[in-house]
Amino acid sequence: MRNFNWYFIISMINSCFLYSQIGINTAHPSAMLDVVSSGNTTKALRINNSNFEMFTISNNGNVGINVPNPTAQLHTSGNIRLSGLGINTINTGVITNDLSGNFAIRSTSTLVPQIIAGANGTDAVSAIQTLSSTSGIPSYTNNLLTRTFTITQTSMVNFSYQLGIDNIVSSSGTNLTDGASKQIGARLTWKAVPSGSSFTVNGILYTDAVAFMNSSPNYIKGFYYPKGNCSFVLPPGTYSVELKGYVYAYDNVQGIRATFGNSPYDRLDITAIPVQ
Amino acid sequence: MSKKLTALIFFIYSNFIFSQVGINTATPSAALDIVSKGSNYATKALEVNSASQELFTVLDNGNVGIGVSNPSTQLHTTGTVRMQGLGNTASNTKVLTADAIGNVTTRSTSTLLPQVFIGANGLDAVTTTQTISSINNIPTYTTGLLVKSFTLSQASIVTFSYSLGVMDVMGSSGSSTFIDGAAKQIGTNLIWKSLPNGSSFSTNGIICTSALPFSNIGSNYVSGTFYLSNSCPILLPAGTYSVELQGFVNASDNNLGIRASFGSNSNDRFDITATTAQ
Repeated sequence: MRNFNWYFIISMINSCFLYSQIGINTAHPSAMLDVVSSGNTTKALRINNSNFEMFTISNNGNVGINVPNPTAQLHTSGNIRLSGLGINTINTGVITNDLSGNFAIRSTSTLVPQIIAGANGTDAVSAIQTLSSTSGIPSYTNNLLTRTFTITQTSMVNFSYQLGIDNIVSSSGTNLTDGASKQIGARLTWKAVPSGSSFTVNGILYTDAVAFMNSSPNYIKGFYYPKGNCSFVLPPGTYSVELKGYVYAYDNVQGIRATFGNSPYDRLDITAIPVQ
Repeated sequence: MSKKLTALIFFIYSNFIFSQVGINTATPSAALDIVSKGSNYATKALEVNSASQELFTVLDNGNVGIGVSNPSTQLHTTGTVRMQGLGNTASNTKVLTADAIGNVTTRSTSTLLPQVFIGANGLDAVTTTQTISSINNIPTYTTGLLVKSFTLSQASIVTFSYSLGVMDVMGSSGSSTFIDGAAKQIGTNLIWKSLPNGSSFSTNGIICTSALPFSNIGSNYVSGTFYLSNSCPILLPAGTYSVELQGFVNASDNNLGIRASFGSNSNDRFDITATTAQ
């Protein structure tokens, strides 16, 4: 009986007789064993074996398992087993820990792919623009489709597009019959980038072109779909991209003319995954 | 009264003889052994308090609270949790998640990360061949060349990716003298073959498409293989979907027309992957 404590024994006996409950430092225990910290030490409860302190309750409410001076409400130092946990398929708060073992919730929106624009299987371009080109001067659509998005973390951003082109004729609107290869294309360009970006406004993210040639009175004038799919790692910031159609003819007689955006299957889909 | 006296005697007895303390037990099996009297959430086996608040609670039903005097789960905390020294894994497929009020459950990584539904194996996706022809501005389509079905248990971002080889491009009669100089069209459509009830899409509607113009006036020309490809992501609600990869040819002239074969090469691809929408 080291640490013999008369107060402890007296209150123990007292509560034993009166309530059949044990109080330590309290005359009115509200549990089988009710411990009220005296406040003279930093701990309300310790459980030790002969080698180390296994379990600790500090006066500030922190509980340590094999951690004598817990720095969190629950602080452990080894493996944890939580058997019998339920299973869900929808919770978006993932429990993560830092290098010191501190747990925190991380939203799945910062972990898995997110839709930034489109990805809905519907027509992305409702306007129509018609372009012509002759004599080696390409011609581009102007603000046919622009998408602006903001990313809050460095992300791998995937761009996917297809732009329908039809009514392919000569620059004057007659049938194209000169047998010269001309070009119809669609490119994705930077419309706005955050200050300090390594990309420049009007720079090309991705471009695609189809060679078109005809020398017969009857030919298929549409639809053709220049398309692209590319991924960029982008720092946080607000970006704007423009999907631009273009036509290009080298000759100065028939040239080329085509209409962009007429198809119901134009697409511009942007998805992003935060870089881990 | 005599019962309580017995309890006290046991307490003192065990204290002196075995250096073990039993509360409500005559035969403690730990240095401190507390046997609760009740079995429900309203009564407590143990509480540890500071001068001002209840720090630690063990209810008679086994629930443990840290900073929670009436814990509603086996372990109920209200503040930070630090687990130092956790092991690392590269293979566990369940992550811990918490709902809005802190209930912790597990979620399978298959409901969080991209999953392969179809293909994504680098193998030939189209093992049959179909030859179709068109003339006089009437397009012709392959029929059932490649149909794939998949079921989403949750709303997901589904990415479709395909590449379909087209070869033996010639006149509609099979003539190899494809020399009329008319721009004809070879293409592919990815279309909805079947949809869940209430879908905003319609059967035979196009998901994504691609086409090439093809014209020739030389006696020797390359008649194949060309690959029509595309890739697009679509957010889809839960349900069972079926999609068809369809080749097509279209010629406006009514003289030579066009004919082509789809699927005969060994590099056709059709891949579907999906990530649960979060």
